[in-house]
Amino acid sequence: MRQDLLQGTLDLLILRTLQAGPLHGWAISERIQQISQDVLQVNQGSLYPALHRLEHQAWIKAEWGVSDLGRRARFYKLTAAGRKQLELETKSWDQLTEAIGRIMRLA
Amino acid sequence: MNAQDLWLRLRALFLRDKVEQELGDELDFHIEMQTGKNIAAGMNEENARRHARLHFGRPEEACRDERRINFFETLWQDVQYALRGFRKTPMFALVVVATIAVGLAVNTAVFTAFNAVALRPYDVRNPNELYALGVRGPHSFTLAEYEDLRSQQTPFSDVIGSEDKVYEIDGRRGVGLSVTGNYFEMLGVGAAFGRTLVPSDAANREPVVVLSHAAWRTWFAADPGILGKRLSTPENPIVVGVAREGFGGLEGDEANVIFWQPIKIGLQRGIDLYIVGRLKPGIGKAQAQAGLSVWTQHVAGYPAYLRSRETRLQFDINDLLGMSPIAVIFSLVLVMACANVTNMMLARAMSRQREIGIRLSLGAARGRLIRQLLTESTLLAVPAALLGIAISRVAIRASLYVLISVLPPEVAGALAMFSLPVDWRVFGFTMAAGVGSAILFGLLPALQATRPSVVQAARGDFGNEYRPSRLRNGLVAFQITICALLLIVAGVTLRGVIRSGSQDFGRVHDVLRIAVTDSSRATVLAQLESDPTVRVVAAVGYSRYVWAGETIQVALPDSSREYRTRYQYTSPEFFTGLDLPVLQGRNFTKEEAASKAPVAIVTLALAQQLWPDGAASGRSLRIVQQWNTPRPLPVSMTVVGVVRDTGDRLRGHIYFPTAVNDPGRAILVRTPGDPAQARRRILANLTALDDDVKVWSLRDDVSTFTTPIQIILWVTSTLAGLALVLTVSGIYGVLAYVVAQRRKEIGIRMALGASAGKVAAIVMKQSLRLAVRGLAIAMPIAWGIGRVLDSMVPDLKEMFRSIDPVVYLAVALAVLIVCLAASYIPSRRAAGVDPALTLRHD
Repeated sequence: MRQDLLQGTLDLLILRTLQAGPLHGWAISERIQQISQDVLQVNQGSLYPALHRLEHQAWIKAEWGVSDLGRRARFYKLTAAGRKQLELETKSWDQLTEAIGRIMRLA
Repeated sequence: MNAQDLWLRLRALFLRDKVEQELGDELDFHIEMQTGKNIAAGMNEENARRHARLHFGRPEEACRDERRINFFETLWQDVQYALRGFRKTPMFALVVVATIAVGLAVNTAVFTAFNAVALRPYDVRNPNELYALGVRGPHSFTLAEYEDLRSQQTPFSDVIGSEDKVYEIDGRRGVGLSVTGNYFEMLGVGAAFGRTLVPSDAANREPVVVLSHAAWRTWFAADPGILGKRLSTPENPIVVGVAREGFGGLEGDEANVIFWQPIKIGLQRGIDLYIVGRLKPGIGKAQAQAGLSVWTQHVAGYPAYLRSRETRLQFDINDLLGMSPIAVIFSLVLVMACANVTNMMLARAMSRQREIGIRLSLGAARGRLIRQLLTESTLLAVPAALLGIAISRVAIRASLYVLISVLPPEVAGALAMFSLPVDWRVFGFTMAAGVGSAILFGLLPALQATRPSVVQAARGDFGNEYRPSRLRNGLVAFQITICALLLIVAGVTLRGVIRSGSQDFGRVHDVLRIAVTDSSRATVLAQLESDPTVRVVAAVGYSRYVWAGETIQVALPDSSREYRTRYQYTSPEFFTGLDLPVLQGRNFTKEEAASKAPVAIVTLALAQQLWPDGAASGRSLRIVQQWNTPRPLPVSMTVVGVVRDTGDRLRGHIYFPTAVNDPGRAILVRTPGDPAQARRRILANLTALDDDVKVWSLRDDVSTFTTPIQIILWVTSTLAGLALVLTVSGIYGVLAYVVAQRRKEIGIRMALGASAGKVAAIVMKQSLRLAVRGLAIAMPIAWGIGRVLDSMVPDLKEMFRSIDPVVYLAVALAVLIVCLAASYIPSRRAAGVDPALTLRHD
């Protein structure tokens, strides 16, 4: 089953994906798809604008590098501010899911 | 916004191509990778690539949005696009700029004057804290009271006092202010050079003065060696300094101020001080008024009353409302200019129909196109605003020059020193008005040009609902309406001026009015009577104008109906000396004049209002006693005579007897020759006897009374003239365009046998139709406004008859003639269409 992403969660997923190290846009979308076992499909129409938005917020930084296949690609990497933002968003995400889960179980 | 964000935005703005290239590369890489994946999944290469692209969509525009510089980018594109367009049609751009500039210039000039008197604060330290102190009643503060006020605990942190007096230096008159020692220090005003006055100056034996910068420049030709020289006033003081430029005191006649001198008991009178205080911080006006009332009740017997001295005029909302008709009249010219430009833009939009249609059908958003067209109008409005400011400077200079040459010298002198600078408020006003008019003249054509049916129009498919000419004709009719309204205003003023020109003031051309202090009255009179060239003719009450005296209410003894009329004290010689024969009854007798008997003489206009049966002399009259009724006036009076109407015909005048040697009366003398020369000669003779003597010529008095109306006439005629020119060009533009557009139709008509005359008549008829439409709207509006004005300001009726059939008829005729004239060239062009040529054309 494919799921559309919840509003605002794409930014969190991108930041989380980049925690392991710099990746280019294609790799980010592939990684999200793989790890979610094809449940989450990242639409390119929102991925690239989101990357540019995060870059403007200085949470990630872009650099040109060479891909595994030897092609020039734009790699994104988490900045210090991005790491802090990820921590914050992770915490609030955990709270949110826990709260929703509790309601689903007990309400 | 953080540093990285700023860097990215700047990069996007200035390295646009590089950033775009990078975005393209990045997205290409993604598609490349997806293609690779698709191939690995078993598609052939072509299919794989197609699939990758198909699913990719178009994220470029969204990515650009994230850069958040789209606004500037689009603006920059629009500006470049518009400039390219202007370069292609420079005449169009020039005409638009010039038209709007003229409309803006008129309004800028008015705003400059308004700004100078009402908005621009005095150039002194914290002018918002300054308040002039007065009381609610007749009282003038003496120097002793000022000293007392300073020693008291009041809401003022400091107080200054000043007393003005008119001086004449080398034949020119101006105000000299006697001020308290702390004057300059309290206002925070320094000297341009030399020094300002200090408290110890009052104790100096040697009299000193500080010149105003304006007087130093205009009266003393900016003499660099002025310090140490003496002025030729009676005190003969030494100049010790010139005050900072732009400062002329805040007593209200700053343009007139020549100098400041320390106030000294004995030399100056010190009996009528203008007191200005600086409020302590945190104290409001109402609170201060209450606090000061304790003191004023004690010394003057009335509560205190404060008036802000932050700006020259303190406007309240009622004053502003009263001024609004003037603002409306002036802004109408700008609105007309906008209507003209709107029509030009509409015509231009029509010729760009195809271009805009194509852009719309290629998917350009309507909002985006409207924005582009509005950018274009704004680009025209900004240079128009700058040009407007320049034109208004020239116009202000020129009109001041004209005013100075026609006004009586004492008023003209003040005008010459008055400064009307362009500051940020004037600049801001004109820019805002410019941008406002850009929207006014740009929005309609932009909406019209981009409406959805344009796409069809671009294909040559003109539907039935498509009637651009309706809008254009409506605009021209609207212009004609405004033009007719302005013409009516000018016409009514003109008739008023003609009426006031024929207004009777009696004999004025060789009469001088002399004001003396009562202590030297006897010696002055003796001197005048011994002068063989001078004949003392009369005495009148001391008011600025003989004909514009104060008003009082009178009534018949047995009736409660009150009439407001102007009163004046006159000696018996007044009527013979000024050639005002007594029509009915008799003149005052010498005895009545000396004893101030309860008798009066009225003008014919007043007599007819009070006694319509015609017999006025011998009847008695009641003077309605009010707080402002002069004290010695008895309640009941007997009318002894009726004289010819002079001055105010609406209200009439009532004269009370007085004698030449009564205190407080001005002396009228007749002397042959040029009144200006006679005035100077008599002034020189009398100054030795009374250094406070003042001499005016009645001719100047009358002209200061009639000049304002003259000025109103010039202003309204200028506005009406501009409106006329704009209307003519508006009509011409529309007709010329219509003829060009209907060329084919006209050709067919002529081929079918229509004569040249008939074709020309079509064009002329259209012009006349527009004129009639415009007039049909203008006339009732003018009539309505006239009715309202008449009921609101009945005083106006005296001079201006707002509902004047002659004016209405003349305006209607003028507008019709002008519209016909404007259609002349287009109709000739229509008549000259060669059917053979036009029909073969497509």
